[in-house]
Amino acid sequence: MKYSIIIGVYGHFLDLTKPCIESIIKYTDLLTCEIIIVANGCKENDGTRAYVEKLGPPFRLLWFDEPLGYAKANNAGVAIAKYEKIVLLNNDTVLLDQQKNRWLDQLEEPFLKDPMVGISGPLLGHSEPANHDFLVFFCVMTTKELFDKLKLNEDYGVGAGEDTEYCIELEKLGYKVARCAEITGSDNTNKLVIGDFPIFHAGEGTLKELPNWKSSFDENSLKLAKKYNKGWYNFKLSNDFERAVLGKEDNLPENTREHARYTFAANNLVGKKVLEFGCSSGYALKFLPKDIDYTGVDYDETIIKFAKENFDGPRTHFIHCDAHSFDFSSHYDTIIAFEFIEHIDDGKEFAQKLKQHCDNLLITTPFRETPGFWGKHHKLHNLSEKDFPDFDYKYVGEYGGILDKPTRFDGQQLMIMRWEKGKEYPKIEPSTRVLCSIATKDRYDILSSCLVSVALQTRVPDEVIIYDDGEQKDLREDPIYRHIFRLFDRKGIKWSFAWTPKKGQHYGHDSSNKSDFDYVWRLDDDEVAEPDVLEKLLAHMTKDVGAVAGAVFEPGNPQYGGSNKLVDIFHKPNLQWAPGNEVVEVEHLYSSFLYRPRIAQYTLELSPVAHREETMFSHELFKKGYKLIVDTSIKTYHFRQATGGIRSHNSEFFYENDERIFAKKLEDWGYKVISLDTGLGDHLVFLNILPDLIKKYKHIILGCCYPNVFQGHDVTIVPMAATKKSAPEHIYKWCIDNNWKTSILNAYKAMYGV
Amino acid sequence: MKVVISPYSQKLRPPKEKEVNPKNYPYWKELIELLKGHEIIQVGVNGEQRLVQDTRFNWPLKDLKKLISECDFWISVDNFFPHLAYHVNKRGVVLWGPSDPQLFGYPTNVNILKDKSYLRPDQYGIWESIEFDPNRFVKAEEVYKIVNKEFNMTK
Repeated sequence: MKYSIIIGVYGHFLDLTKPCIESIIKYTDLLTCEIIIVANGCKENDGTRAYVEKLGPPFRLLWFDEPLGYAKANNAGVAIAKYEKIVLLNNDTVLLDQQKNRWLDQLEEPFLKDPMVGISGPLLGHSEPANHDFLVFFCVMTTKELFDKLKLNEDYGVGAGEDTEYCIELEKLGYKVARCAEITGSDNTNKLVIGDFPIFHAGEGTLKELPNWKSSFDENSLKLAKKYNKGWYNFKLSNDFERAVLGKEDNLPENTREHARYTFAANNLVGKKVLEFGCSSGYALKFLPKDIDYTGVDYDETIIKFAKENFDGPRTHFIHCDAHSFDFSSHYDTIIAFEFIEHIDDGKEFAQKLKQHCDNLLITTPFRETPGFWGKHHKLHNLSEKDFPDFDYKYVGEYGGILDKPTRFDGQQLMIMRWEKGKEYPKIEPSTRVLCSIATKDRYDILSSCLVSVALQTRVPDEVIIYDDGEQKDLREDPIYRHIFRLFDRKGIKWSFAWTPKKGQHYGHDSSNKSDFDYVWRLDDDEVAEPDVLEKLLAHMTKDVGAVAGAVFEPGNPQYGGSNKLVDIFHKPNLQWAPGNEVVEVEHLYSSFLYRPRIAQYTLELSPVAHREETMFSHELFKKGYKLIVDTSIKTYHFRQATGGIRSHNSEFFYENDERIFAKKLEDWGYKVISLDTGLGDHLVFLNILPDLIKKYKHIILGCCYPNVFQGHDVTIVPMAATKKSAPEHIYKWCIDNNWKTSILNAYKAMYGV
Repeated sequence: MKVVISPYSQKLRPPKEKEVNPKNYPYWKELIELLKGHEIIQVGVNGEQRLVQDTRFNWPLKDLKKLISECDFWISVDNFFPHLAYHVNKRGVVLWGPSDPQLFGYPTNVNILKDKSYLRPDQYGIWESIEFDPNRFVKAEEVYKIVNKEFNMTK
C-alpha cells in the first residue's frame, strides 16, 4: 500500500514545517509513501524550498508564490498525488514516538474493516453551524477516488468549513466518516497528544495569525449553515434574534411590530427617494411602493450581502457601512430608521441630525426599555418622547398595531415617531429623573415588600437610596434581598444603601433633598405602593406643584373624614389615611409623597424619632408658593409595625422635643398653639385676651378643658391632650418663673405678648 | 334684691374623703340668714350642698351670664364665678381666704380678705398642701355689713 501525504505550507518553516517533516522521516516508512509539500505564499528564501528539494524523493515540492487557502492548496496537492490513499496533514503537527507507520496504520484501519469508510481521522468534532459531526482535517485519510469526486470546496477561503462539508457530502454519497482513535486533546507545553493517536497538533498554527481570521471563520460558518442548517443561519443573520430577517419569499405575520412599523412607513412615505438605516435584509421593500429609489444601509456586511441576494433591483441600492461614515451628500425625501438609533451611543443626536438630510423622517425605538431587556446590542435605554423633541409620537403594540398611547413601559412596545419638514411641534420638557428615598430602621422584613413594590412600578424611579438608620446589615447576599437587587438591576434602577448616623430618618431625606434629581419620591420602609403610584404622582407634577401625595393607609383600616389643613392637624385624621376619588390642594403632606428637591429644608434639629418632619417639610414647600396636591385614588398601603422605625425609640422626651419644635414652626407660620390645662376660672380669664390673640395670629389652635367657654370664637378647639406636648407652657408656672406680682389677667397678657 | 351666690370652688382633682376645699367660705349659712328677705339664687354643680331654695346647678355658661346680668349683685368664693361676672361687667363680692385678690381678683369687685397673713405663701403653687382653715375668712356679720353698705340693701 502506498500513501500520498499532502502538507499545505504557508510560512513557518523552522517552527512548524521542518519539525513536522523531521517527525515524518523518523516515524514513517518512506518507501510506503510520497510526501507532497504544497508551499503557498512562502517566502522564497524562508528555507522551505531548499529543505524539501534537498530531501528529494519521496518528498515533492509544489510551489505557489501566492497563498491559496487550505482547500485550494490541498486540492492542488491531491491533484498530483500518485497513490490510492490520501493523507491530509497540517504542518503544525509533529508525529510522536511510535513504531514506524503506526499513525498511518491507525488511519487506514477503518478502511480495512469496512469498505464503506470514506474518510478516517483521530479527532471528531461537531460543527454547530452545520449541526453535523465531522473529522478535523489536521490529519485525515481518504481515498484519491473519493477526493477527486468531491474535492475540498474552495469557497471557504483561508480555511474552516471545507472539512465539515467534505464529511457531509461524503456521507451523502453513502460513505462513512470513521474515527480511528480516541484523541481527547493536546498539551501544548509538553507537545503531547492526549489520547491514543501518536501525534501532536498545535491547532490553527497558521490560520489564527491572519488579520481577518475571526470574520473569515464567522463567514465560513454562515456559508456552512446556509447549506446545511437553515435555523442557525437565520439566527446568525438576525444577529442573535436582534433583528427580523426576511428573504424575498418570506412573509411577515401581521401581529408583529415589524409589520406595523413598515405599514406605518408605507402610509406615511413622502417622495420617491428613500433612505433606510438599519435596513437588515431590505424587507421594507415588501411594504413600500415599487416605484421608489431605495437605499438600505446596515453595518452588518453579511446581512447586506443577504439583502442584495434577495432584494437587489435597478432602483435598489444596499450599502454596508457604519451610519456615522455614511455619505450624506444627497438629500432624501424620506429617511427611515426603525429600531436603529438605540444601537448607537449618540442615537438621540443622530435622530435630530437626520432631519438635515430629508423632508420626512420616520423613526421607531423601544419605548422605555429597561436596560438589558432586548439584550446587549442596545446602547440607549428608557427612551421616551422627551428624548426626541419635535416629533409626532405614536406607539406600536407588542403584537403589532398602532396605538395613540402606550400601555406598557418596559420596552416591549415601540415609540414610532414622524417628523415633517416645516411643521411646528409643541415643546416638551426634558426627561425627568426621579430618586426614590426610603428611610428604614430595624425593619428588614417589611422593607423587602416596600422595595419590591418600587421595582414593579409602571414608571420606575431612576435610582433608589435606602437610608438604613438601624442595624445596618449588608443585605447583598441575603437570600431575599439578593433577588430584589437583581430585580432592580434588571429594571435598570440604580440602587444603594446609605448607613445614616442614627440621628433619625430626616438625615437621610435631607441627603435626598440635596440631590440633583428632578423629583424625590419618599417612602417609608413599612409602606407598599401600588404599581401605578409613581406614574400617577408624576402626572400631577406641573410647574406650580411642589409635592404630590396619594392615600397612605392601613389595609382594612382606612380613616375617613380627614383633612390636610394645618389647623386640623391636632384633632382630625389626615386626608391621606383613606383611599378615595378626590384630588385636592392641601397645606401639608404625610409620610410618602413626590416632591421637588432643593426648595424646602428638612428640620435637622428634630430628635431621632423625627416626629412631624414631613409635615414641616411639605408645608415649607407650600409656604414657598408651591401647590401641594393629594390624589386619594393613588394608593400606598401602610403596614404599621409595632417595632422599628420611629417606634425604636420609647422616650417621650423625643416626641415632646419635636412637638415643641413643631409648635414653634407653627407660630412662625401664624398658627398659635395654646394649652389651657387649668380650671374654668382661668379659662374665663384667658377669654379676655383671646380677641387680641386672634388679631396677632392667623389661627389659634386651643387645647382646653372647657371648650364651651370659647364657643362662638374664631379658634380651633382641640382636646387638651392633643396640644399639651406642643404647648406645655402653664400660666402658673409662668408666673412663678417670672415672679409675677400683679393680676393673673395681666400675666396672661404678658405671657402671650398681647 | 336679687342676689346670686356661688358658694363653692371645685378642685381640679377629686377631693379626698371629708376634705374641704380651702377656698370655701365657712359661714354661708349665717350669711344667708342675714340676707333673708332677698331673692337668693345659688349656682353650682350637681352634688354641692343646697343652701337656698332656688338653685341653678350645671347651668350652661351663657345662661349663667344672663342670670348674672339680671341680678343686683353676686357673692362668690374664689372660683370661676367672679371671672364670668367680669365678662358681663357685673360688680359683686368675693370672699377671699388663702388666695390673693390682688393676683386673682378684679379691683372693680368688693374683695373681702380677713388678713394678708392668711394668704398661702406660694400663690401659684399646688393646692394639695393647703389645709382648710375657717379662721382665714371674715365672719358673716362683717361681710353683711360691707355688702349692705356697698349695695345699699333694704329688706
